[in-house]
Amino acid sequence: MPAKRFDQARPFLLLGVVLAVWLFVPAIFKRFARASFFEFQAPINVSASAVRDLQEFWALRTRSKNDLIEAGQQLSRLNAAYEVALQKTTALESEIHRLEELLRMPVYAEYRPESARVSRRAFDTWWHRLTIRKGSKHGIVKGAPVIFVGGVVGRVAQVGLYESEVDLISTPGLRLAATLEGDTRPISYHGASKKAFGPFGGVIEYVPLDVFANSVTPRRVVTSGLGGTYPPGLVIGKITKLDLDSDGLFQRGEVELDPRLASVTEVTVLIPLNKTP
Amino acid sequence: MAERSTDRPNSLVESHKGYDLRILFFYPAIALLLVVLIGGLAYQQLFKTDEYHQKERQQNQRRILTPGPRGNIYDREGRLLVKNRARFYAAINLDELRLEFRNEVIRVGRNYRDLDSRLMPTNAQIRRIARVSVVQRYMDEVNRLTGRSAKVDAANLERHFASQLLLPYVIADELTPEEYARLTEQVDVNSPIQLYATSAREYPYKNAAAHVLGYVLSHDELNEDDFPGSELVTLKMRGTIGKDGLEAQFNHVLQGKPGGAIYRVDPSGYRQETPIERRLPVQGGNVVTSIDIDLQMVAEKAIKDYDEEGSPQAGAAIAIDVRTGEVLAMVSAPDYDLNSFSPRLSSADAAQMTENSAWINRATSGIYPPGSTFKVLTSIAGLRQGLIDPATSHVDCHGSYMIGRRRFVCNNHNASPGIINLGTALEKSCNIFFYDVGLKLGPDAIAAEARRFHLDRRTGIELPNETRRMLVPDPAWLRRVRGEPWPAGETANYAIGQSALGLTPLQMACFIASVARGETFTQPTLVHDPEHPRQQTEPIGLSPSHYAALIEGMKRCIQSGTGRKLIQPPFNLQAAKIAGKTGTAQQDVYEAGQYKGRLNYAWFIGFAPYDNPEIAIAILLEGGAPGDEFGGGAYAAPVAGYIFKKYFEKKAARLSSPIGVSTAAN
Amino acid sequence: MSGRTVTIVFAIGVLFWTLFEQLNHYLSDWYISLFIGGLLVTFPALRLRSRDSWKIVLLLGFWCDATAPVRFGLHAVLFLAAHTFIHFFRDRFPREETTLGVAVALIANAAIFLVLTIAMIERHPTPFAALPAMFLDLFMSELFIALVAPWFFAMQERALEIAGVSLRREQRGLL
Repeated sequence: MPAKRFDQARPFLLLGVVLAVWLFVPAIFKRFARASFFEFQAPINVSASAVRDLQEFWALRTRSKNDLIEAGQQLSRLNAAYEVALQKTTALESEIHRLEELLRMPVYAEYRPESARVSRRAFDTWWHRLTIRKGSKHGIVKGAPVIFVGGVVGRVAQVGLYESEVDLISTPGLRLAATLEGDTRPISYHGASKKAFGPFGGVIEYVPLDVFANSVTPRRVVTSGLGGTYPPGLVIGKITKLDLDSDGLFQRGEVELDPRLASVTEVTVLIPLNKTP
Repeated sequence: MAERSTDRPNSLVESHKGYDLRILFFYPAIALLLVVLIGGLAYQQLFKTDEYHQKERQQNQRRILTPGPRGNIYDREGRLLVKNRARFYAAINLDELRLEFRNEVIRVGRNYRDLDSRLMPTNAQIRRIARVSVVQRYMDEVNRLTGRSAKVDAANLERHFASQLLLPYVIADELTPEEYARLTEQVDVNSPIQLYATSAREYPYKNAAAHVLGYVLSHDELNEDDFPGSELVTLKMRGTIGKDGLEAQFNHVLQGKPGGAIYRVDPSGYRQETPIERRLPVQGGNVVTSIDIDLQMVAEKAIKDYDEEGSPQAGAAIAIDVRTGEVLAMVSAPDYDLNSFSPRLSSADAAQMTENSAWINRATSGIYPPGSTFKVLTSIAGLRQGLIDPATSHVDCHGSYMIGRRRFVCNNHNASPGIINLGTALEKSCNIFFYDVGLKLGPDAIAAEARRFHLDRRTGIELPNETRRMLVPDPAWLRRVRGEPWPAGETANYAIGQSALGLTPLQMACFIASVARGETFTQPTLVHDPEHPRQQTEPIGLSPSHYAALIEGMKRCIQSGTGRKLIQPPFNLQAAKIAGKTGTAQQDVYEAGQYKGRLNYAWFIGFAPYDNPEIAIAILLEGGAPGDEFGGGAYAAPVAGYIFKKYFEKKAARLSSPIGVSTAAN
Repeated sequence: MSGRTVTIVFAIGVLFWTLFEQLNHYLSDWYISLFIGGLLVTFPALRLRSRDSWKIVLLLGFWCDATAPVRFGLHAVLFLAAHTFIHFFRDRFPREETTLGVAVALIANAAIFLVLTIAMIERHPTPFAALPAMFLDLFMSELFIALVAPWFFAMQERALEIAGVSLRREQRGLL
């Protein structure tokens, strides 16, 4: 009888032993194992992404020539507008540099932009991640900020040789120092996952009491540039709700993120050139 | 083996037939013991359950209280005078580091053993070393991100660990916005390093109304009345308490309601699970003060304009709404930056404040002879006693007046000596006129009149530390205190606001506001209420013609007398219709028993408009050094001029704005 | 034979996981995400010998862990725990029945999902606000599993048969 009882409990004992052993496995082994599995997955993801690109290519091929001509014209107009904006930006940048030198102000860490294609979007219940088709071979480093046309996407969480994982700013646990557009006081932004059927959201804390915003008159939240990761002024989202926090000192509220994040296909990784702490 | 078994009976049970009588004694004894045992258990179980339950709670539960943020203080127009500033700090919860402490103890112990076992510290020492080492690691992380170079204070850490384990241990206080941003972005959300914000008082107008607003100091006691678990071991995070000014007076309103939580702890004091009970702190109530920060700032600037190098001008200024008694401005100079108290006052700042004697609120606690401004009261007393007829002249002023063998002088109106009536006396501040009236009145009548205007007692304004040392002397007082008779000449001095008379600037402001309303008392208040009723107290007791004559004299003081600076540039306040009285009081100064000379005090009291009074002002400025010329007309009246000017500018702006017009129309 | 079983079932698991990730990629436009951890565990745990199945489950767990922002091994441990439970109780039920397989997959998936939620919820700044989206994801995942589980089981069984691995030995009562 005792032998049988032990026999019955054996799987659970074994599970316990495996757990205990796993806890004491050296971290280096775990890191190596993770990297190995990650690198195994990379080609699969890249292939799937390439297949998807091919699908899109063939889908576009079905469009009529008129559509393509029209799209080309629109693109030319857009390019022209961007060209003007670019010139303005260059002029403003040089003016800022001139003033910074004049006032002997510290220059913000500069970044090298590295565009990357999104090979996979995994907006799980507990975390939101993108896999991009650039890795350490392309200079991507862990913690580098990632942006897209609508503002901040997130930051690089894991870097493989040819692929990297990016934590989206809606991921719970991702925190950054934000500020309100036109303000300098830092506030704390946390990713807050998503609502049922969207959109992505975040939570802001430590908002000063004199700030007013609601869904009718939202205010934009941008990166503060003080935290050392993101350059200043990148759009995070807009505040749609603000309530007095329980401590009476601050407000806390909800931030609605750009809905285009849900279907992002191209991002830019800002690789810091002179990394400061 | 076989033999042994044969020695024993077959049955495994041995039986004895019959009883040994001795055993009978044991039955009742055992039964008794059992009864005692069961009874004891029942007693413990049934009757002492609550007590044990209570003890169990006390041993296993800890209560943490956090103070609620204080309320704000606004001025009468809704501008924020005192608010809470966020104070960010990084802290770690030591009870979350239990495993790390344990591992570190093993590591430290091993290191010592490897080095030299003779140097091996005790277990307690190793545990302390391990704790410091672990906390320093986290501190180093914060140092790396913020550029600080803080080190763990081992004694402080031990104290915290022993008595406040459940409270966060601060590893970086007063984070700048940059430091806060860096830690926010670069410390993992689940790291034991957590960022917290607490409130510190902030005074956006810095020195403005420093003595009125008051300051707060750190305080351990929290109002925990309605928070459950008062019998539990309680850990309190430091709060603040109002120590001066409105912060102290309205501490019960401003003080927030503390929040807190009750945690279950293990025998070592480490927190277990989530809190059993949690309540969030609630911000305290707001206070709307009657102060108009515009007038306050103008008054402060006007006084500070007299600052000399290295010695700030001392004085006080009070503006009161005549109708309601609401204090519109209350200045006491020198003052201090209220922000220097938050989070704590440095010893250098404290020393500076002591050197400048900036702690004292001169408006409510400074005792000064009122000088010639007191002549208004002497006039009222004379008119009421029928000793002054406004229509006729009483004295012929030639600059001196003999009382017995003592000569009293009047240097106030050299330009036009001659026959003086009440109007001229108030206009020119003629001493001779009031010597004469005073002597006819006698000291008791003057004192009685002063008491009728409540000048012998505190005003009862909502500020702590209003002095009780004000003095309205009379012969009985002199006899009681010094055992001396009242000298005849003293009455003359008394009539012109000298003698032993000592009043606060606030009392003089209330006095002139009362005169403006034709009454005897103004209850000053620092609380603004838009529905504040017009004050109504005992009438001044003058006939309309007498009252008009009194006001006429005060009008002339401004239009052509000692207060004429108010109608000259830069003030040009003719349209404001000011009635007032200037004064220059003297006080003998002694140092180490040696006479050093006479210190002058410049006074001004007045109100406007005289046909429908709205604002009353009292100004007092202390002379710099004994012997310095420091006249009320030249120094104090201009300060009042700036306040009047601002008041009427604001009034005009209010009336000219569309909202003002519609309000007025309503 | 054992190595072949592990390789085939693991490979099919990876293939299915890859397809499923592509599905999640497309569903991201609607802010929906599916979780199929329970489904990956069910077939090996119900149908294979424990000396093979635990290896498969462990490898699939690591595969999921590789790109997830969790401690490496969390999925593996959860999969292994689910496997242990299923394996322990499997002899009491007609485990070769597809219906039972689907039911077990649904239960295991919900259990792993909830445990993961409990493990991850502390990172969430407003946990209660996230519950509707979590339940929606769980509901959609269960729906998806109910639809694809029979096909997935059949695919694994057929793949093993093609590779010459018979599951007959594993069937209850025949040997």
